Amino acid sequence: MPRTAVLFVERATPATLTDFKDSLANVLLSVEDGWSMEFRTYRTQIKNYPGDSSAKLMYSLNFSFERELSVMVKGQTALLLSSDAAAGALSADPRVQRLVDSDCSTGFPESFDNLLSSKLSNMWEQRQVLRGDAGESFRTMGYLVRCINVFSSTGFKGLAIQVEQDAGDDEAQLQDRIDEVKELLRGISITEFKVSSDRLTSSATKHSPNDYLCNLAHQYVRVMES
Amino acid sequence: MVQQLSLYGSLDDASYDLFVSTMTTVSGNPPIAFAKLSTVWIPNPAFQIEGVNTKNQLVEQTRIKLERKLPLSSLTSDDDGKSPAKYTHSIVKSLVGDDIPIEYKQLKQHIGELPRKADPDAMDVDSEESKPVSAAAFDDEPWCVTIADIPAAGNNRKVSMQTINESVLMSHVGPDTSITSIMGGLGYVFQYQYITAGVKFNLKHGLVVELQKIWNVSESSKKQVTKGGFLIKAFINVGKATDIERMNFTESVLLNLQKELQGYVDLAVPDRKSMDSRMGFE
Repeated sequence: MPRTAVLFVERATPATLTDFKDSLANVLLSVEDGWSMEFRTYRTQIKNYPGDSSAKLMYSLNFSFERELSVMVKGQTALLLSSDAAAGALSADPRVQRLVDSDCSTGFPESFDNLLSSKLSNMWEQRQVLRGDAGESFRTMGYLVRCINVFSSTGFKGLAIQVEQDAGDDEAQLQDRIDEVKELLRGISITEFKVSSDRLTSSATKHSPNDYLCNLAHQYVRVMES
Repeated sequence: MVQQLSLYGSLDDASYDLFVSTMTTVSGNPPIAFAKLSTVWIPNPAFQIEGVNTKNQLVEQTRIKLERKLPLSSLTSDDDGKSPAKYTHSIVKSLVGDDIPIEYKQLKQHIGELPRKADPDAMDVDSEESKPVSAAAFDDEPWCVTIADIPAAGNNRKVSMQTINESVLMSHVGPDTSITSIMGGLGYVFQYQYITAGVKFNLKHGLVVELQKIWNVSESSKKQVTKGGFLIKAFINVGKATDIERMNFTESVLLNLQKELQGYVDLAVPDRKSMDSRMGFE
């Protein structure tokens, strides 16, 4: 399971991405695929829902590089949901197929956002959608950097930078990578940013490879919620 | 959103062999045995939940069903042979009584309401002791989260037609998360659970015919709802409800099956109210 970290620069302009790309060019090995993401915030409509105002929020994240998966984040819990249609799909996860075989699933799952917006909208209301389109990915020595300009319906929100370790599970190594990226940001005179490399997964329990997305989503929530 | 077109019927225990061999011939495929755990959740009654959303649209409160596959080995307490080949559809035939070797406590472990025993031996692969298959072994199995509408109304419906929304919960992470805490966070609490064991036949055009036995498993008792017989469910799932041609074709496939089995097994449209998952319509 790769270790990840997310940096978010709120005090940026859409052009900051270009500056960052230029400074990254020195350590660049190759340019990878483009990507996009969606970040939705839901707020509960239940009047006597316990907890403070942050407990009433729930987030959903979709990444184009894991198209069939989405993550719901609520507090310290992250759910990995699949909308991978098992029926007739070659790429289908065998676990989804087993659900169909045992009559649990019809084989036409959809995203959890659809369930929230169609069936549970009296309990959960979608507040805002942050979108990033035409993100870029760069491979450097030992890690992958993805960066993207994030917009809300009202305008530019900031620059998100995602650092993904290729292999290994080395916290110190990831910290080195984060420091490198921070150094690059300072090089283009960006000094204010939020970083998160928190993990919800624990090394004590067994996790499936895709669970790294839960950590990643949690990190996005940590740096982007405000 | 998927449309499920279905017909239901029943069969007595004694007719099981004949029906299975008939369907094997008709479908050209051997029967596939399966077992699943279904848990049903309702909006937390302690919460004040409005019947409308912020756009002032009426949204009725509905139950949510979470289902997960159970291994066939959990249906039998006799564990002398370890070969998976032993677990054929004959297991389903043998389950005639109220009792199944699945305990209420075990099921509660699936949804994390009861903590799993902190058993140091549990990690030991050589340990043959753990006879009742513990829920921890299936943590890898995903859950299907389903919200179904009441079947479409109409007096002269030839088949039942139900809209189903579902998503697949692959895994959950975080300190102390469980299905119960997740559903609690969503505003739902546990209502009841049941176990289904059955055999299914895959026929042409996506037609599936299932024989099911269902048990209510409550804290105090286990009760077979289908005692003395089987529930027959014949269905086809259509991914797009807007595909009218496909819907009409699907209906004719089901009606053909109904005709073919006529006089032997009567497949009929169930009362739509019995398949209503909305709250307050019990």
